[in-house]
Amino acid sequence: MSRHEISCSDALDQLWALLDQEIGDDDADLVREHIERCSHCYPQYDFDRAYRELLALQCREQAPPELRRRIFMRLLEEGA
Amino acid sequence: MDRSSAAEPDRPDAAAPTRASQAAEPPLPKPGFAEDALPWLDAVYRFALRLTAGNRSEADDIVQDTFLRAYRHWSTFEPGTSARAWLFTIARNVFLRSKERQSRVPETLASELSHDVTGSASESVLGDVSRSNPEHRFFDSFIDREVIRAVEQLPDDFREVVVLSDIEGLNYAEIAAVVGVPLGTVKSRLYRGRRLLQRVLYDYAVEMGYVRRSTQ
Repeated sequence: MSRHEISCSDALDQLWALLDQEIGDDDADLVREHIERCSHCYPQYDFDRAYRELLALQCREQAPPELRRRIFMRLLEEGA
Repeated sequence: MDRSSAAEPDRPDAAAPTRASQAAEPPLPKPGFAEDALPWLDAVYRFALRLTAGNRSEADDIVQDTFLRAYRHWSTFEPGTSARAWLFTIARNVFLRSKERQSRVPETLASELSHDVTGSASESVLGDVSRSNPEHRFFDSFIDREVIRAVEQLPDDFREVVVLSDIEGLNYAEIAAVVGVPLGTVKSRLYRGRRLLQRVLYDYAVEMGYVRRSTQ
């Protein structure tokens, strides 16, 4: 392992930070490089990414139009 | 890896605010509210639905109360900060207060449940899934209602951070501000909440026959 490589344990620790884009560019590159070459870590990355896509795409209900109208009317009544 | 909030933190594509139906409405007297707060009505509604575990009438009340309070205190909102995070903070406080009024029993149950699940929540379900079914197809099994029901089964502490992050796309700092806990707590709750939700989805998939239970 060169000094620029990270261990599976470090990569897995930072997996969510990578998926959440809550990691600096340099660290992100290190984690990504590790994951792409690691048969142990890649499945977990792929699994967690699929999980995130499922949640982001599916739970997208909109407020009922009647509620929206009611709130707007209440706000108008409040005035300035 | 798609967190569009990085490009424009308060306008993520995945949680795009709705501007429909505003064209015909008369203008609100307080400047900025219609443009900056009202577009997040759907997001606040979804958050309220998840907080109340799908109780639509309770969610309606929370959303209405949230926007009324936000409107009254609009002068305290700092322009340039996240209106969405501010609205979520108000919605959460409205929810907690209404829950306190109703009963203290659910709070106790929720915290007991949190302790029960905490132990198993840190283990990945991937091993079980891989033995049952090719994991890349696993999440394709679910329809919308099933995912929502699974989210609603999470204990309060985990549910709110998972909803704010994975459904509404808030970043860690915004979630910490909404929930009122340190960044490290957000990270650990997110980690456990996600693992737990994956476990709930797996158990449900087994129950429904989408996958066979893994036998080790």
